[in-house]
Amino acid sequence: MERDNELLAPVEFMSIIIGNMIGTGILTLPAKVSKYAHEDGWIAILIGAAYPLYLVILGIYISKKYPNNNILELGRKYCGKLMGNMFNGLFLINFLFNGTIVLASISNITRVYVSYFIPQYKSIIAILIVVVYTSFKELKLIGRLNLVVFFVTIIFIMIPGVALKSGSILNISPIFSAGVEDIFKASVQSVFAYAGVESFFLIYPFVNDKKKIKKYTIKSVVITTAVYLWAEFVSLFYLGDELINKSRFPLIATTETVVVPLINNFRYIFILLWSNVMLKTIVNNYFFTTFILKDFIKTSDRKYICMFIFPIWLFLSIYYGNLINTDKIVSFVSPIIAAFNILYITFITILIGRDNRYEKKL
Amino acid sequence: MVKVVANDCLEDNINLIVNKLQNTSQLVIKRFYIGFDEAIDGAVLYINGLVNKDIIDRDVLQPIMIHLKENLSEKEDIEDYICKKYICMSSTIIESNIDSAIDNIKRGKTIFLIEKCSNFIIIDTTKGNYRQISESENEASIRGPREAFIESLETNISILKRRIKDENLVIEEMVLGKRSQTDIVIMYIKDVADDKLVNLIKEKLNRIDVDFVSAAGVVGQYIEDHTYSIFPQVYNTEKSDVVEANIMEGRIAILIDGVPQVATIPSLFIEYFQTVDDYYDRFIVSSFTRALRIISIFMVITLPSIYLTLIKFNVEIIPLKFIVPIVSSRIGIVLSPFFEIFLMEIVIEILREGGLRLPKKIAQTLSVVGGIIIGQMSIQAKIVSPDTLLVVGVSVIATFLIPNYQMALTIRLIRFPMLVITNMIGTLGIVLVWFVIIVHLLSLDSFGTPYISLNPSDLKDEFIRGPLWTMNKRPEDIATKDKQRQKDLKIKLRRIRFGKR
Repeated sequence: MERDNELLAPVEFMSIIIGNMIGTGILTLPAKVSKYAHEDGWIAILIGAAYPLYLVILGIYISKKYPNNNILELGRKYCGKLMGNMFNGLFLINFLFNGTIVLASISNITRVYVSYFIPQYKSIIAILIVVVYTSFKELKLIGRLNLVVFFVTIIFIMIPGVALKSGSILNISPIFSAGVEDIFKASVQSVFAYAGVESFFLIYPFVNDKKKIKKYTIKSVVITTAVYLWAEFVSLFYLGDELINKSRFPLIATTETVVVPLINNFRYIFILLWSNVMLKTIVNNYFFTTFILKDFIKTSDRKYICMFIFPIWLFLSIYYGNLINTDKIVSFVSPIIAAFNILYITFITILIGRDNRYEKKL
Repeated sequence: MVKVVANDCLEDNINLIVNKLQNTSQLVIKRFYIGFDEAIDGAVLYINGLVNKDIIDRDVLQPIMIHLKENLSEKEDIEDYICKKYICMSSTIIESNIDSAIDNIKRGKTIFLIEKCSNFIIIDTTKGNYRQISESENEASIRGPREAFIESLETNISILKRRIKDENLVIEEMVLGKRSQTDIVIMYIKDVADDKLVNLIKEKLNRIDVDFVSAAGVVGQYIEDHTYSIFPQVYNTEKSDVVEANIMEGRIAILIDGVPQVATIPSLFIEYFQTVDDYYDRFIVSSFTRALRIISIFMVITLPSIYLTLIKFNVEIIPLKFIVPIVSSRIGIVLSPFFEIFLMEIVIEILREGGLRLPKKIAQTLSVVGGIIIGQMSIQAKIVSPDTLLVVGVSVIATFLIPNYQMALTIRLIRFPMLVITNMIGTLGIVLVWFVIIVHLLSLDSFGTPYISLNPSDLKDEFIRGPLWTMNKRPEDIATKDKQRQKDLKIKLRRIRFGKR
């Protein structure tokens, strides 16, 4: 029997957007913002949230005007077939880049903390096989998966809270000591953590209750920002600015405060648990990559695309190399991608707005 | 099929039936005269062994052969007259279709044929030797009704009808199996069950074209959507109260003649980890047991694999106090950790499968030989370490917490791929296999109903068992028609407590 409800419920829609944002970024975010903003990293995170918020506000406007067409169709409609497809191709880089970066990060993180004995390419292949299997499924499954992982994420993110018992209030002061320029620099660094909000533009036509899009999209940005603020707060409270700057994954460091019998280090378990959250982000990005590609190559089955892009992903994520390289690439590329997104979406919105004005005059 | 109608001639009719039945070795034909003066020929036909002969002798033959003292040759509608006056039985039908006579005769009814009548009488003389309604051996419950289904379809229907007196309870009969021609019955509540689902199930059942259906599990496998999934999609039970509760939630029950298990459709993943006792006990206690069962799933699947990664790859994670005894117990063991665990798991699977079908008296020997001798000696022979045995033992004990045997087998099987993959890529393997299991479960559906329900309103009856008065709604995905199970009881009860009406 065909399921009646193949469309996304608003809450699944929300969790896809959240799930696309929260992945590996959160583990390094406190270190990245502390580099420039020190104790005021949280301000940088708040300012960084302006990026997804801006996109989402434009997105809500677009989704009201064109509730049944996603950005790919709108791009072609307003920029012509050739230019539209080119922009769509650039939009695809969002997901390709984010996904492969998260894939490289997860393989690096697991290699550092839990499975140092297998070479990177092996772990990437193993992960990719699982990701491809998941991407075979439909969007509804991606929604359900994200919903489950969203709740799990909320539970997992509470674990570092144990660190609060051994932190110090002195670590988070002084407040407002960093300069405006530094905070701005730091907030640019936080952009990678917010990357993924672009998925909104692909999936809003598939929400079954279009009236709730606005509420749940705003919610998704607010929840993500709150989770990031919490991660920053816990890390800062426990480690202090100096240690945060010296550690690569401050959030993982905070989990070491949890003491469980039979195991030396709770970090191991946290990585085990958090891997699911990262996996889900890769799955999302992989899915959206194939989703956009299917829009180009209209007739083919999406499963073939899933298998076809496997080597590309494998190559890219191995190419990024170790954590240092990955970090360098991220801090260089992700602001550029973000800038493109802002320009492109603004451009489309202006065109839609102009169209709308003409329509009204008629 | 061309409808064959009985004609006036008694012998022709008898021949028709005999020809159609083909196998006539058990067929009994008793000929006799009806009435005085101009007696008419009559005959009863039945199949030996399926009928109660006492009833035929006492309530059919005796009145007609001894007490019928009138001339019937002039009468019209003789069959109706005889039926009303001489056959002292409640269940009689007058028919003219020979095919229906054949169907009925095979099911233990008696056919009463009369000369010069184109109709015949079908008399319900069914009797089979069935076992009595007894307690279910496979599904024990501590509180609640003990009654379990038996092999007789009629009795099973009556058990359910006794429990559900709702006028909307629909009982639809159909015949399955080209050669066995097994009667099956689907039962549901009309204004709760989803129409689409009912039609789908009926259509699927009608399309089954096989020689025979022997059990509920077989029918389930014929109609399920995901053959290659390891998870069961049709829930089978012997307990009447489980079926009752399932029907009430909008599910459809399939009863098969000669099978003491009843299948209910659709089934959800979580259903296999719930027992009826959960609802009869205090809700806090039940919630604790349910949580234990969920933990046991994780233990069964993951515990041997985690142990494997700990002693093979991530030894640094074990505290020093534990590592010393573990290492010292492993001195002299030749087998690799993986092979050692794998071997023990296989031995336990063998013991389980062996113990399942053995007579009770020998099963004791098996448990002594299996549990004590093999366990003790494999350690002394330095085949496995005591820690491995402990871990494997704990994970086996954890399987006993899963109430449904089908699901327990599935869960046990999953730990083998988990073990193999963990042996190859370590901890990452555990994460990846779990991810695949979750993705598979989330994408699975049982007849269109998501296997794992994510509706917030259903969560209070999944991993925990909320207080009964909070369960005002039926499961959202199953009962699409009438979601309200009960009115808000708590508010009403509060009003009574405060003396209001």
